[in-house]
Amino acid sequence: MTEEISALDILLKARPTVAPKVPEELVRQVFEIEERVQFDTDRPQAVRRIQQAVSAAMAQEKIKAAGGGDAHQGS
Amino acid sequence: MHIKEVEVHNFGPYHGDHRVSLDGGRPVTLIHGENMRGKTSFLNAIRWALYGTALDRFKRPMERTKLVNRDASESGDWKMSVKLVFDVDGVPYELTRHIQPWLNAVPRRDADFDERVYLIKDHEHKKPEEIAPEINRVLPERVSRFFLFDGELLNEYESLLADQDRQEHGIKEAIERILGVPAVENAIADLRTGLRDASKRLQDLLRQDNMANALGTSLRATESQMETEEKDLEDLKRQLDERSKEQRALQEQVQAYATIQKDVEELDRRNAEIEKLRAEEERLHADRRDALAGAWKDLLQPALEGRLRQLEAAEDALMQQFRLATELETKIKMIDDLAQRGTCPVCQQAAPNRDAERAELAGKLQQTHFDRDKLAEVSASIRKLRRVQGAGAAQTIRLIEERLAQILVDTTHAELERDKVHDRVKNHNTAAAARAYQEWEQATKEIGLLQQCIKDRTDSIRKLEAQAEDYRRKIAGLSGIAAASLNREVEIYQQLIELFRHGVDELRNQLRKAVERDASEIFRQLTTDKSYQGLRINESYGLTIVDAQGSDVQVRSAGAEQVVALSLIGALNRNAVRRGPVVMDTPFGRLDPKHRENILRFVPRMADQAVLLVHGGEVDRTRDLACIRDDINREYEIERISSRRSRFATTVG
Repeated sequence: MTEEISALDILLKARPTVAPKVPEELVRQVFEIEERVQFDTDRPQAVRRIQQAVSAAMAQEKIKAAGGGDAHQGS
Repeated sequence: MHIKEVEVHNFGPYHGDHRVSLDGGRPVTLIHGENMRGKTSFLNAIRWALYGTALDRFKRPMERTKLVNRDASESGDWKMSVKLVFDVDGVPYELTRHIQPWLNAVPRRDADFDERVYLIKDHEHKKPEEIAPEINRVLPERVSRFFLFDGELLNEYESLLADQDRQEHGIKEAIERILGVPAVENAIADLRTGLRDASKRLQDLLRQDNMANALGTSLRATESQMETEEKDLEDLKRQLDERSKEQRALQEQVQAYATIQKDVEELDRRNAEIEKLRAEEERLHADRRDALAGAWKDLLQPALEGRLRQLEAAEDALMQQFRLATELETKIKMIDDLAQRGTCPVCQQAAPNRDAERAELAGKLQQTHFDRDKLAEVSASIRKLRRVQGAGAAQTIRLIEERLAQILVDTTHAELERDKVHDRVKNHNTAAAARAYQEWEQATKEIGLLQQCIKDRTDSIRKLEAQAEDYRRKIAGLSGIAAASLNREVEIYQQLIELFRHGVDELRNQLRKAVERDASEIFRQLTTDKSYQGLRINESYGLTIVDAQGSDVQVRSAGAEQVVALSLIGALNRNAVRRGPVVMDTPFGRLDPKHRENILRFVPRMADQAVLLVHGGEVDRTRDLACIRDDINREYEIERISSRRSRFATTVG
């Protein structure tokens, strides 16, 4: 059997060099949102859900920063 | 997805209730049926149940009034339904689509019908608004062409290999859709919207600062321009989709036009050939007449030969006497000239007396008895005899007759072929095909222009993005703590956009390699020419056969095209983000027996479930099916009851 190609794996592999300041979890969330709606003709919810995910990731950074963690590191 | 059962009521040629079970432990179900029995209607019933659309042979949606069985509708029964029983990863589903007229009046258009759709998932009824999204998750309509397809789909794949400018846009996009590219590509557009929104909020915050405000104004103007360009881009893409659909719809008629053009050229060629043969025939008849006019001379030939030889001998003797007499006369004249002059013209000395010598020469001259008149008479006789001498007329006539016989054979053959082509041309709707071809060319030209516009617009958006990024960087440098959070948000969006852009390129690259690898492997199993190395993929997922030397095979037969297309479909199914049953209508039309056998062997591995709708000309069930006997679940025969009614009969299983 041939090895399956995973778009998410491609994104996660490139993240440290192409988007080092974006948390891995956020990349995963954005991809999953788009993957779920990719065959829908109308995708009005995708932008709103991505914005929500970005806000949540920033909130997470703030919490980490307040707790002394490194806010800008990918997980 | 695994379809277990299909129930139809008054759908197409299926009057009343009909049930087809596709369940069982084996992957392949065969439905046999001659043309016009209802194979395509069965495929359409599945498509209609899932998406509410049945397609005609030009891929246009069919009107509901034309879908309902004619006998039923003429008796006033306009109710039609299809029920699909299937499971997805072990979860049972029951989908029913049902239509009936709103009023008791005879429906004339689609809007005159009330449509109801019911979906039971895992024994629970889904709400009406949940049904379409659920079906889309299970087997999305936009990729259904790879699962529910007829032989015509194979032609679409062939267009992938055509000239880049004429490439069919829709099929490439559909291939990328089934491979999951839109999940990454759509993210870029959505992230851009998020970026614009964050950037706008940042600008609002920075309005109080003059410098930041100025930069913010520039940034807003750039983003506004970007937004306009993005809307234009979407509009251009929509137009491209529409034109591509129109182009696809015209494809079949264009192929018909190409056939007509070929026939017209053939007709011209045959007419020219016949004209040339007739001209040669006419010339040969004239030559034969001339040859016959002189043929009597051949009969006198033996007698003439003897007389001619005698005369020629006499002429030779007379000529010898003539030459001798002339020589003697010349010498006598020289002696006379010398005697008259008195001195030698060379040494200027006195000329000697040569009277004795002259007398001897004059004596000899007298003895030659040369008769000038006789020589003239013999020469004239020889000329006359040579004129009546034969020129081998019999041989010439024989050669002419042989050539005339060959011309008759060639002309008859050419005329028969010409008549066949003429009949074909006569039966074509040449004007309609020519019109369709013009429309297709126009659509193709417009598609090329739209693609160029899309490229230009995309480049322009990229430039504006770079400009906007520059403004944002400057603003970020000026901003205080209050804006830090928004700057961070903008940064996240920017990096995400860059990451997904990189991802989509890499994904396409990897997918093309995977499709090429899998299609090559399948092709090597399917092809009967084992010297081929495999297939090479192009940017549009078109595949070229690669020979033993690693070179592209430029010319391939219609059968080979079909094998390549099926290899691509097999590879796409392996790499697809959604898996489903493959229902193929008339897929073996152009294949020779060996290729048909190879493909039949491959079908059980192509998908977890395969339904083949075939006619007797494609698959002979006693001869061709032995190779997959163990993989066959059931076999049905679509039986004709009347021109408006068919039914399913189980033959095996």
